[in-house]
Amino acid sequence: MTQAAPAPATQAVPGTQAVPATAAPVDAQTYAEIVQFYSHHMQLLDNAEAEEWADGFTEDGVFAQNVKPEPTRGRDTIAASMRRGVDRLKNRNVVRRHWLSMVVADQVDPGTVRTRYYAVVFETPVGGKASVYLSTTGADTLVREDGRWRIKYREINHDGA
Amino acid sequence: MPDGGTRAAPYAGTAPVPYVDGALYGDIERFYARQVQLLGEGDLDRWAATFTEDAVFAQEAQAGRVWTGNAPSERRGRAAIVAAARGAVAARREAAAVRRYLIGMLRVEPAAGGSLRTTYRAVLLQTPKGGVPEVYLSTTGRDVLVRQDGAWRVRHRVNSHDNAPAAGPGATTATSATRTTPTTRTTRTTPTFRKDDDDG
Repeated sequence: MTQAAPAPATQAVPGTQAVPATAAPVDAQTYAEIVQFYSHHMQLLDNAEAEEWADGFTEDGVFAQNVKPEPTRGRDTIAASMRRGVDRLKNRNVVRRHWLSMVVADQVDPGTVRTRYYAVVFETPVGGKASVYLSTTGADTLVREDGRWRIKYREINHDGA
Repeated sequence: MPDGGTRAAPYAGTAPVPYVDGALYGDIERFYARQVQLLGEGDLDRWAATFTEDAVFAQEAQAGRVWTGNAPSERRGRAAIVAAARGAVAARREAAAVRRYLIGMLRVEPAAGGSLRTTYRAVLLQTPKGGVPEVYLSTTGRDVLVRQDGAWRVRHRVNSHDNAPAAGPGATTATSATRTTPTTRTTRTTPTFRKDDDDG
């Protein structure tokens, strides 16, 4: 049974709203831009460039994960939190590689895209063997800002959590 | 540059991220899809043509216990690159193991003279005959691609293994702002790699 999508409340947290039934897949150019955005974004993270990675969020961006009690709110807080994370990894002499794929992208309005994707993380200890560390799904609300894409809301769900 | 204001960095301290045209990005994705499949199938005659005649292929891999062997860390010229790959493919056939090369997180940037600079992650899955697949290796690639005779070809490749110390979290793939020419990092390791890892 098809449900009529109610008009989303304007004060709702972005990303928690269902994509409007009218949302269509983005065009090829936008899709290619988003894939490139993600590739760069993940490379920055895995290169331990936490601040540059956090620049992929809007200033008021939100980062939620099902393994965390509360979302991280605001670009500066997100950057500081990830800085601690990548420094911990560095101290453990471990390299992680986030692979994002199976990207679905729907145009919500001309400057807003909702995505869903899978993310797999490979981990390699220095001198050791690579393994699959984690499998997750993700959902982002991306907005176009100053000619580039940024994450306004991100929700990551770890498989098996 | 005229009308440069629109490219101003929107967030202090970081440069704007250019996206290449979607059609070009798709071309390069297809280039890599074909290139990895040719290598995976051991079709080295056609794989060779995905490199320029004067191509350079460098590896940054761990010296010592795991990767001991006798291959050089840098091969110059298509012939040397293919010769090394032939040895690797033959060794794998003998071991009845199959390798699949997966490339992801591909980044493409315009570079001098119509060339392209790419950075990407590459994972090798290996399956022994009748056995269970394993993640054999995780690496980072940095290429310079040039258009030659109507096809993209690799002119310069650096492949860094994640388990080598220099591939650590601090190693960067996206250093385009300062790299203007293809460079090979100084080899830090003794150039000794096991033969069947040459094509990593």
